Amino acid sequence: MRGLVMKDFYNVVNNGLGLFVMMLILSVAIVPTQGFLGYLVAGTVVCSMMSTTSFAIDNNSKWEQFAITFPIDRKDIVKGKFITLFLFTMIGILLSIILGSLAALIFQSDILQTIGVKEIGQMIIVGISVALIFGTNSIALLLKFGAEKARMFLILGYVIPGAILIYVVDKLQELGVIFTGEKLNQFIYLLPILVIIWLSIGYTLAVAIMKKKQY
Amino acid sequence: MKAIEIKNLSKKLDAFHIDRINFTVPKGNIVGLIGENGAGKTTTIKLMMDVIERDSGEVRFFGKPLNKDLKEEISVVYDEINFYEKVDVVKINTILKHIFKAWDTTRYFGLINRFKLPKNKAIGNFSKGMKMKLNIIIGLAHSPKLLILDEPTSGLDPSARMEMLDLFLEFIQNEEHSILLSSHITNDLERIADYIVMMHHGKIILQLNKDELLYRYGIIRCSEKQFQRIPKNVIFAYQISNSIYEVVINNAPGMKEAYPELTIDRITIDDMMSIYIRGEK
Repeated sequence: MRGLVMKDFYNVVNNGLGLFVMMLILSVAIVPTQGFLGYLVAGTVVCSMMSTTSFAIDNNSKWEQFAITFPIDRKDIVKGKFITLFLFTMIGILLSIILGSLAALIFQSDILQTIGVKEIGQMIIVGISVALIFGTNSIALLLKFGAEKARMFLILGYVIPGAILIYVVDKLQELGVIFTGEKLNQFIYLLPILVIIWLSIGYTLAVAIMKKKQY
Repeated sequence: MKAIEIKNLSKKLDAFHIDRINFTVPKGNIVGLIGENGAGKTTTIKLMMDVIERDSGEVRFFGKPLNKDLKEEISVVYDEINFYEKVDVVKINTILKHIFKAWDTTRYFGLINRFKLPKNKAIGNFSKGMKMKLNIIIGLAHSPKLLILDEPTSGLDPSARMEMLDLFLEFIQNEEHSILLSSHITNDLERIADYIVMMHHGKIILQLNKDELLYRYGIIRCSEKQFQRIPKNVIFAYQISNSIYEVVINNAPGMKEAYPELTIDRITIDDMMSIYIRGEK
């Protein structure tokens, strides 16, 4: 298992310079316009997406057909992918905080004084949750359709959950639910539970797909 | 004791069918799996290792069905390296020592030094021969009892091929070790294999001890008139080229005795395979 995660880490980190440049560009583009908190979420999601890059690399080197001959179970390959997703989400949070803070200091020197620790904490929860939910969708889609075919579906993997969320919020508003700051806070603190449920369903589905996959 | 035992292994793919194949790899032996490109050699290996789900049949390694622990004792080496081209030999060691319990770093780097492979160069910059050497070193570094090699010498120059074959012979010196070697380079198999299993269109058409095969089988190059005199039951395959019949027979010693006027040449596995594939059965 550890070996599988290390393999993904080495593979993706080889494209680390590209990721770093992309995060820098995003920080310059987002921090002055959307603010530091917006960048925290966007940067984390972008960095977590690097875990999906590992699928394309695996596909090119025909890694899976080799890995299946190792003393591991097929579900270990899936587990490794989820751990890689988590790892890159954490790297994303760290990078976003560092690069976002630097960009904020350069472009909006007073912004860090006006944001509370609580708000930053909440945005970290939002960033991690969004990254893990979208990442889970991507893993399931990539396993099902392969790195080539899944590209088209990957966009849907991001758009559909977003559309569902907007629809649910609209419906709730129609039903008279008013989203006060307090309600949003409560929702943010409930997010980790939603993520755990989503991860459990996604992992089970991904294992089922992997068990039937032929290379 | 059999290192591999395959019974009635079948798989229907879109344009291809592995059809109830049976063969064994006796412990301490090298078995050469031969056949033209697309004969089903790689698919058979994938079916054996559960990379592809089989429709029916049974595969046993050392008397047991494949499981996680058993995979520690088996190495599969494909015809290309399955690592990302930007990693190096050192990183591969770090990855695999966390996957195989019996991974031997000293042995791995010993073989890397022996074959003079660079340690910190991205493997994408390796030549085909270097990549294949690395692939085989990876296969050997966790001290398996069984090596399954899929076209390990294809694309290598003669000197690199000889180096690889020497390495396989070195591995097989231990009587507990066995090799299944799939290849369409039949010269390599003639050199090192103990048994030959020949595949064609997803079926096994012949399996025999190599020495017996080379003793029993022969090739007759003759006219049509002479061809008509050859008993049909000894003909394995034949082809006609420029009015000359090239006939592979399965009882060369008997035919020499019964038909002393016919010239029966020693056969090579290459002749046998190409006449079977291109000719009539």
